Amino acid sequence: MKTKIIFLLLIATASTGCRYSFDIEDSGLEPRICVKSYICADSTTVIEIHRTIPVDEISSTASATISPSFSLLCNGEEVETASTGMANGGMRIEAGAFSEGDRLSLTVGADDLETVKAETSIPDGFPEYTFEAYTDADGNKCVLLSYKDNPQSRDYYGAAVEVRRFEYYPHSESPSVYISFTIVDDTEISLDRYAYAPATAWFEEHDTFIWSDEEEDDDCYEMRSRLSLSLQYEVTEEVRLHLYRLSEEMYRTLYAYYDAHSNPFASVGLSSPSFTYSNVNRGVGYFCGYTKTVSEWMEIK
Amino acid sequence: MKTFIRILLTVLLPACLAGTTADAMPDRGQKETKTLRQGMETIHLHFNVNFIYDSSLDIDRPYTGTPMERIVRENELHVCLEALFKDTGIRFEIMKHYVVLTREGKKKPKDYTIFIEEQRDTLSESVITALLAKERSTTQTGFQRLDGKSFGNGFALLSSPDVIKSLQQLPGVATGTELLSGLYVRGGDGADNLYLLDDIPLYQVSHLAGLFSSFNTDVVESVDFYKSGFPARYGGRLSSVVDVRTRTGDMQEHHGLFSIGLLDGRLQFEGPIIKGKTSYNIGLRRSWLDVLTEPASLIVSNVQKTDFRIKYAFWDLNANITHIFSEKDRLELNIYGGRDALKFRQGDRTEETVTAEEASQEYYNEAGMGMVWGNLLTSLDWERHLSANHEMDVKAYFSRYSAIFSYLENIRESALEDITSSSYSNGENRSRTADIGLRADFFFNPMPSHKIRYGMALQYHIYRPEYVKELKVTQDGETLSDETLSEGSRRRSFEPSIYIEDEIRVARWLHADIGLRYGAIATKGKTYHSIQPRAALRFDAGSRTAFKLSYSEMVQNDHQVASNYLQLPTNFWMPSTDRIAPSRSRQVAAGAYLNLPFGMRLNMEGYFKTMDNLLEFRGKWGLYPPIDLWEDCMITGRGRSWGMETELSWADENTSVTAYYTLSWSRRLFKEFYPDWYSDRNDNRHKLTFTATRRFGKRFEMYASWNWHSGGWMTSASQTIWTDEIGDWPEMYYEAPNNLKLPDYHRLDVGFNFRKTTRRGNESVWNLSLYNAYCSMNPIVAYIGDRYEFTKENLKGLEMVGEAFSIIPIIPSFSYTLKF
Repeated sequence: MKTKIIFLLLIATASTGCRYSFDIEDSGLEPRICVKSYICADSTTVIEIHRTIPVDEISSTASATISPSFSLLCNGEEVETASTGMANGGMRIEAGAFSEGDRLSLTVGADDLETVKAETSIPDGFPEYTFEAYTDADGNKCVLLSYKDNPQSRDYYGAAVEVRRFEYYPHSESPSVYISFTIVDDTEISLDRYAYAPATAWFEEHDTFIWSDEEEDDDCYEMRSRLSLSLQYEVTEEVRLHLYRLSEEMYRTLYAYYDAHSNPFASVGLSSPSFTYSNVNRGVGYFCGYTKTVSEWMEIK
Repeated sequence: MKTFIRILLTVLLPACLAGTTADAMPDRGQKETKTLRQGMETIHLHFNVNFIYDSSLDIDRPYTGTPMERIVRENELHVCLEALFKDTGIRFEIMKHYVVLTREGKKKPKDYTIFIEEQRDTLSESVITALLAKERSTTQTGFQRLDGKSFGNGFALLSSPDVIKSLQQLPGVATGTELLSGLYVRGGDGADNLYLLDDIPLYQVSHLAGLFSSFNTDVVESVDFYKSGFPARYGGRLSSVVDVRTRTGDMQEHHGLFSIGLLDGRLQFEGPIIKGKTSYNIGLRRSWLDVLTEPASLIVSNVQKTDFRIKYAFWDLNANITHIFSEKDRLELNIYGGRDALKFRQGDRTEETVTAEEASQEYYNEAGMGMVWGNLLTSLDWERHLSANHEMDVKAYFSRYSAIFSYLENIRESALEDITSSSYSNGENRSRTADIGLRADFFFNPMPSHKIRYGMALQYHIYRPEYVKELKVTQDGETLSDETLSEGSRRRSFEPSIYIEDEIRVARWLHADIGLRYGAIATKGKTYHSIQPRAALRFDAGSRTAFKLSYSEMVQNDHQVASNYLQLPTNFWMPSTDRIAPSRSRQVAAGAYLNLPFGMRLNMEGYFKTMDNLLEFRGKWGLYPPIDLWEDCMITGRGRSWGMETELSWADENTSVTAYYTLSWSRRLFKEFYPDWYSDRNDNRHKLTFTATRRFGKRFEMYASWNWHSGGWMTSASQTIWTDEIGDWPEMYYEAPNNLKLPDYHRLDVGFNFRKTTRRGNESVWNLSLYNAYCSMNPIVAYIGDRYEFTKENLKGLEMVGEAFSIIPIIPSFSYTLKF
């Protein structure tokens, strides 16, 4: 009997897996300044500044108020700003619109926090492009974007497909209009040599494809999307493209978000630690410039 | 035989012969008074043979014949020995790389192979002394030799002793995920190790997802492990060389062993085919887990009314046939084959009747997956003594690694036995890597102070990752099918290399090993060349102390493509391309190696290593990395590591105790992740290992090993901000990669061997082992979790905690081995 009990105990022990907590309070984390700003050319600039709460202190849900001193420079000259407080203790800074090619620099300090600095530039607009919307031989609705890349520089791009549908219901005099951004699984960015699926990041309240070019490469790029649209009633469909030219900082920031949402192995330490990019030196967050071009609506033929 | 109990086994005579040197003596071509010992030293240096002799023999008597330096230059080994021992009353026998000396007129041991093995087995002191001398007297830094016999003398995880698990205990080696065969040497990655089985590279070295390594210890003669100071004859990986040599069969008698354990069984046979000329050695392992899982899945199927099957098995086979044509020529055929197969399938059948009038509907849902992976390796090795001081070793080989990951899904809906709709899909990812190679190595000993090795190798690699997908959908009688075949990035590469190295005895106290290796890889549209200098110096300060210094560069031309850090067979290998350049490491190492009084030994070694063009996966998650786009998913970065390793040991006839301590740093720089250097995930700052073995009489021995190291690192959100919206979840920010230190790792392993001699005179061994004896729950994965209450107004009491998941408790195991 004794032998049996020992044997059963050994088997039971050997079959046990367990989850347990470990201390993260000794991680030595200090609050930092967080900057959040995507700066679009020719649009009002909004910069949010926050005081972070280290993860090991988050149980104290006290507001993290910050009274920062800051300086925003455009091409080396101070920019006039207006600031307002936010409900969560942060500060919102508003400034005028910047133009393509502007070089921006932000320095933020607060009494007990390390001063942070971030820089970015507003890239040139999206290159000259052509855009087609059509139905292919298999009946799939397709969007084809073609443009020629600048071989002199490393460039970063983004695109989102917006769909407008005019649905004609029976006995209705005018069509109902639905506008949405479509996320298309079957999208690829192609060069002459190869094609690949672009990353997808959540930006401007919709999914956006992002990709970078190849250095010293003057190939023509194409983005080919196959839209998954279902038809129930008589429908006229139109699409237009939101095209982005991203600064390197912005591309990396968005790519880091893409990594964080697409690699569950990494979140448990079993894959590459890829989602950590920030261009706010000694702080966290992002301060990134981009330009945006919106095409005309085009009916899908 | 008892006469030899006090035998002195000396592997390297120079270590014992401080103060005497052959090349310090002028070669004047005159007869000169020296001792037999000095002559033996000259022979040892020239022919690379070791002497075994009865300690009662007087080898310090004068030798007045022709200077041995001259004799060895012009004659073969046995002529030199005849000249040395003429009229001394000492008789010699040449056996493998040993020369056994006995007193004339005394009865000879009947078989020297058994004799030598017995000496190693029973005279632990002698063995240890020999190993100590070997490490201290080798010019290379970072070198460790494991004797094949030592694997059978202690702990055996899950019933089988393991080469990789033994190497994991050494200083400078991080283990990665617990229980897997990870080997992260001095900041390197798991794919940076060159595993050689009788000189042939292996791409995958694990069974059962890393629980066992591919090396069957029953046929292993020795394992040479290099962490730095790499001799020029090795190349192709960045961080370490694991050179596993298998034993040739006994030329005189048949014998073998049989072993059965908790998870596997082993069988090994060796013996002569033609006595003294041809021998065989065959080792076979097979797991018998499937014998349990098959009936277990049948029981589960019956109980749960499902169609459930799970099966796992692995086997491997090592075979060696050696033929000695003459004293000059020897031919060896080596075969290694190993395979793992994991299959899982589950099917559920449900019936549904909506109303009594309606026909019943039946749904069948089936899902399954399978993994099959393994290596096949064959080589033909011709060794020839071109002259007394010139040897040639030519090897032709074929090596193949293949892995298949398959899955299927079958959904069927039927009514009144008519299938109303069904969808069937299956897919298979295959990864095959094949090498065809030819290498020639030469050993030239022009004079006692120079041992020159040179050689060349030609390797042709074929990399074939590919996938097949099939989809069939039947709806309303119409069948739609779609089949996709991707030949992926099938690549071929050609990799030639040449090397030369010279082990120079510059002076009695100064030795150097200087080498140069040239390698190239030609892949589609691109050729990379590399020059890899290697240099090692050893300064002897007396007979007990040595200082060493080394510099080495290594280049890795092919890369493992993996979407995660688990050593799964879903990973595949690809060569460098026009977009992905070869990786390169540079390492400086220096150390002091002391043989202390009372059988103690102290080794201390420091190193600094840089690595360029390291790869990290960055792409959308998938168990199988994208085949066509693998280059897009890899980013390149740099690494550097530095540290200090200490080894302190003590041994007597029955006991040995060793302590290893490592203090190290390992950093990475991947600018696409982070603009600055960050900790590698295996950056274990401290690592401490204690091992002890104790023999109690002839029948019982005990082994214990305690391992502790600082926790690894993972990436975690470190900062938060509350959003403006009440009740919303805080935004998380990641400051730096690998910023969260995991809990420290520690465990104790113990093992016991009970030896017994059977009535027929065979030895039987019961081995009982406990892995993780005090059941320390060490993390396999970890993450930042949260605890909170969610009310209408707000999150209450939100708290972030580190959470670790552990699955390896205490693991008892046993095995029974019968040697016959």
